[in-house]
Amino acid sequence: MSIVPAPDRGTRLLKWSTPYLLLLPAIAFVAGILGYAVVRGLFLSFFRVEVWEPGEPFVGFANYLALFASDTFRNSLTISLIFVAATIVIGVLLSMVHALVLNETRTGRSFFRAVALVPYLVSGVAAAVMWRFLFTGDNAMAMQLVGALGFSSVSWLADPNKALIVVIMANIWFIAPFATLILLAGLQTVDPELYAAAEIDGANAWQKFTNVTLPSILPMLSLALLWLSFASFNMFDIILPLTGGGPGRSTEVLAVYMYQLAFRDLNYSTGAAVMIIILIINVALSALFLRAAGAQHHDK
Amino acid sequence: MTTRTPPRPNSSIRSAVLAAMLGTASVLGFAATANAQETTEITIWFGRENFIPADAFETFHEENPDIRVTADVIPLEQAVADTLRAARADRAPDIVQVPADGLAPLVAQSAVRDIGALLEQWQADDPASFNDMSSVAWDMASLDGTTYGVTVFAGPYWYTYRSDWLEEAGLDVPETWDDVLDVARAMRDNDRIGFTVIGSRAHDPVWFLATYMAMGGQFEDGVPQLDSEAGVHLLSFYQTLVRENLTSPEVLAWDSGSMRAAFINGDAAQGMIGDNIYPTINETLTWGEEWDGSVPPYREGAEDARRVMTLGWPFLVTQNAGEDEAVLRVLQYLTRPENVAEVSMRYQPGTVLSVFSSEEYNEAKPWAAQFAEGFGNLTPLPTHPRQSQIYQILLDAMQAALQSPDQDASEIAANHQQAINDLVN
Repeated sequence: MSIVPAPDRGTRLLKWSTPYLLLLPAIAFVAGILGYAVVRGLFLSFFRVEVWEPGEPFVGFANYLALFASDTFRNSLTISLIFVAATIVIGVLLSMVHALVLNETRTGRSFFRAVALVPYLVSGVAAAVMWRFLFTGDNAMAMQLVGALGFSSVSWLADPNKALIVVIMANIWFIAPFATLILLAGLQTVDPELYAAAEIDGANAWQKFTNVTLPSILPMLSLALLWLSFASFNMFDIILPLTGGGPGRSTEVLAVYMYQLAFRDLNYSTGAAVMIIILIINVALSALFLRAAGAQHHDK
Repeated sequence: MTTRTPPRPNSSIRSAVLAAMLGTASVLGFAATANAQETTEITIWFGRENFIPADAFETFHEENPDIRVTADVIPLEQAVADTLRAARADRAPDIVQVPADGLAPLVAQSAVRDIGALLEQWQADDPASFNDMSSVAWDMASLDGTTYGVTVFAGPYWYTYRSDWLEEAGLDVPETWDDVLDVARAMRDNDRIGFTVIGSRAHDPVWFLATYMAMGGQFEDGVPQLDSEAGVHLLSFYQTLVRENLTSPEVLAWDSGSMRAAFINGDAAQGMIGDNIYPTINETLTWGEEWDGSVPPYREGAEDARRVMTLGWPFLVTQNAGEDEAVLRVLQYLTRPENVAEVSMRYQPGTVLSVFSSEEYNEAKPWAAQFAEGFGNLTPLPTHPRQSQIYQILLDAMQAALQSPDQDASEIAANHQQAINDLVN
């Protein structure tokens, strides 16, 4: 019998540190690009930086207070919350159905998965133009369909309430495929023996879904929720070309409002304050989803 | 196995080749250095590719071998923001083209410079070309009496209408905005869109302001007075269009493309359409037979207050600009009648007066002669440092009128004027 000598301290240190060393470039890249922007934005939000005002005085929380006192901001916040909530609820339901169907598909599975991802591969502006064609103009297919059903064929984009519905639909069409992919990945990790055991216990399809599928894919479900929430809060490239935030300000979500402030009004500091608010909401929602998933997992 | 070694070059040959290479390199290097020392680089940011002369400065480079012009395209919509950012990083171009209403923020941030001395030199050296410029060329590049550049292209909106339909209905060409509504009513009764208009937030409200100024609307220190008679009349005009179905029921979603397409495709009878769109209309409809245009109508009782608004896209000289002489030569090149005519015939009209009388130009734009007088009386859209925010409030007011056709127009005007006043004071 031969005795394997214990690795020396240097080897152990190298083994321990290798993953961190390999992660370092990626972390440095993200920190350098994203971290700088966030930190700079945070600082900027405590100053008054406007092109028509000379100097950049420190104003503390004045930009934030002005925002919360502004009807336009409060309207954007409300619109954003409706927009995100609707996207999450409808988006996760559709993604789940879509993922379940794809998971059961045996013939042409790869093809259907690729097709399911197509909306996500289209640029936001192109998607917006496509949705615009669907809802405006003489050949607007969606409006012709609505008209054939006996409803008014006036473009939904000309109605403040209906325009928000169109924007939500376009957003779901655009971002839900990625959530589908996440959920599909989760479904493929579920142990088939769990379903077999459930069947022996006499569980029906719904019971198998609620007692086996859902708990098994909970981490992936929380990831999908995370994706749907922060992609929606940051959504800008579909809404601007589709409605410009209108009619009125009925589709002016926070990201569009931020763009308006920073790049049209050239009011950089207030735009930065909106960015920080969006970031805080995103972080809070992410923590909520992860915590909920963690708690559920713990309970198991 | 034997290996053949390639013959080694004679050492004296190697030395000669090396010396020749070094000599060539030093000569080229010297030439390059000398060239770099003698060539002045001028960078211009054009707001649209269409504004770049067709020869892409080829003639200029032949005539001025000591100046190298680099042209980039920075869309007009982002030109002001990009120029400010570049100026902060000391990387601004020498000349930048922006919308005329973007001048105030650039002046406020000292990103552009007074070119009064350059213009004096221009006037002294070449008075003919200097005096060939319309007054708006300078007005739209000036703020508080200081000139920062030259406006080579300016685009007014004309009242545009289907002359064949008016004739068919036995109607006269409208002179007032109330006449426009009467024509629109008659057209609606023939299942046509009476007046095509932009109702969405897709663009700055420049069409709205063109109509406001035609109605006699005034500005105080660059701030529109929406609660004036003209402002209330304008809002009331928009309300009437919706209330009486004189425009598209989808107007709140209509951008400039939808608005123009309605006229070009033969759905709408009237509209305020930019001069640059006329060549496109003429590809579908025949000028003088099917369609026509005129200076915008006036508001009943306010004929003297009517003004024909124009947008402009001045070339401004930045604080980073290089040699004055080179900058001046580039500006003079941009304003040459042959260059302006070439761009004007395919895109936006220019401010060089001699172009309007050229046979070639009038052949390409048969409507030009009709608008010659109008071009002589254009009024630049006033500018304000908080223009962008004012525009947002104007869009709010316009959309409020379109969404609430029965609300009191003066109430909408007062509410939004209050918002504008709060902003600027």
